[in-house]
Amino acid sequence: MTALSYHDLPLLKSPVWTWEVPAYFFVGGAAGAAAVIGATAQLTGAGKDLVRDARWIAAAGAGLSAPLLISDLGRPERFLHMLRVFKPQSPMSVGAWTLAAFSSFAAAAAFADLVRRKTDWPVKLAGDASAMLSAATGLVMATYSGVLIGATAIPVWNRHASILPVHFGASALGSAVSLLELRDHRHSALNALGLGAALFETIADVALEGSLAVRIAGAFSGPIPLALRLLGARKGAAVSTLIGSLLTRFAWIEEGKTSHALRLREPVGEGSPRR
Amino acid sequence: MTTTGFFTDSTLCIGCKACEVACKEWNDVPSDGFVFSGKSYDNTLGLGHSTWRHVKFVELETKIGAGGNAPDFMTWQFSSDVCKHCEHAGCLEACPTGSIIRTEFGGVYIQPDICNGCGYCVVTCPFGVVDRRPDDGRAFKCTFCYDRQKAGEQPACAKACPTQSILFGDLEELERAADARIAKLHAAGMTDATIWNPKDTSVGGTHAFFLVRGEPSRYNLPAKPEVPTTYLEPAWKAAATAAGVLLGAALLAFALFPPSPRRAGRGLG
Repeated sequence: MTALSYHDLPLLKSPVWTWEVPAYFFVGGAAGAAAVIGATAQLTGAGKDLVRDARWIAAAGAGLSAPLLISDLGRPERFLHMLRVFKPQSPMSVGAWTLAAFSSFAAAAAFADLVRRKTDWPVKLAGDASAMLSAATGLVMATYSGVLIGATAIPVWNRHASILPVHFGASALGSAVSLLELRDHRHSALNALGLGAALFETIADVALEGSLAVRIAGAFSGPIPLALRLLGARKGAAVSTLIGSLLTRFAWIEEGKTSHALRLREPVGEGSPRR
Repeated sequence: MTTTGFFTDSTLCIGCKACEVACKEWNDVPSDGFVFSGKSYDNTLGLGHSTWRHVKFVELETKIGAGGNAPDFMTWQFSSDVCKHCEHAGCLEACPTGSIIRTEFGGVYIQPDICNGCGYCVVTCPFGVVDRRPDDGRAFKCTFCYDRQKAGEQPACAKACPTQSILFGDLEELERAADARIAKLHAAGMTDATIWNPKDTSVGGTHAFFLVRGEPSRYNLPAKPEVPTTYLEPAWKAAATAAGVLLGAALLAFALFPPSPRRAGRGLG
């Protein structure tokens, strides 16, 4: 019987992305979810400290995101070419524009907070409007990275195209909650959101077909923090969630680097890579 | 402007690699190392950032008859591979800078002065053609000799091919020529000859298509390639659902749970 490929060589090219990309997925996702928490906390009249810290986490994450993405480019000095065109059919184009908008709004919201505390300038309305806009774009920040790798030719990513955005969104929420909890916020709503995220991540960890690395990373953002939260160890759960959320993204990117070879083991001559 | 194409007929290829050399010379493509692969006489192994034409050496079982050899020798098939210049090109759709464009000849072209090396085209090409050159930082692939075509010339590889295995011309004319060729080969008894052009897939056909013998997968030509834009709809729907649930859950959590009196936020200021 003849082999199914050319000298057993992979058909697809391995992703060229380095550590900055999964690190950005983590930081950008957590920042986006933090903006959502800040805005919803403000809308529902939760504590001012919580709102303010959420805004600052969002702004700090946004500030870290762009340098991470730029340093991964083959030609970093051309980073502004990302804003040359807008292509809705390219998740990376959508992401670049979303990051640009999110960073601006998140920075403006945090800056308005600073100005309000230091001066008596009337910046409350501008700050609140920026916070709401950062939450709207933050929702995209928290989820689009799943679309970015889902809509590719890499089989293990595109097979999970309809679950990765939810998976990444849930762990982004868990991360944002954890960062706030590590800042000593003990609002019960945060614990509830952390529980929900950990519960979803536990289900995802069991349901998703991934390598051992993906599952181990998932354990740190799913079952482990779920158990710790039920036991009342919120800070322990927060640390575990952050580790798991970061590792999950690294594991998924690495998974794509090995799965290009999977194309060979699949019956190339018969089915499509989609299930 | 007419849409041009490549019709590469592996039954005429003699494996001389003149196309690889002509491509490298015309386009000033750098060396990609000097490595003995041990895989037949193929030491370049595949298309990449510095190999834009690549001659594959496929070893088939001994077969006497048309195109075959004496029984004590294996049957060799050579096939010159190239960027497929897809009708629906994954790299072109995904390129966030607009560096990758469709030329007036229907080819897919990376503008080197625009590319910022984001690497997204590398993972959205269903044929593993595009690659980022590490020491340069930008993505490279076959340009379809856009410069030569603009000057009314044929691409360097087709010009150099000594056996007319690589045919260049009007795409529709080439498709008719391929149909005539396959009919002739089948009539001569070479019944395993097939044309690979994935017109019935989401790729929508390719402007570079191939005539090969046996299973196209032996030549790393997948039977059912998919342009990754087909995954956009399920992925964005999932993202929208996730975003909706995230927002709803946050609103609900803060509405249901009153601020905790034990809160001890310190603030950052």
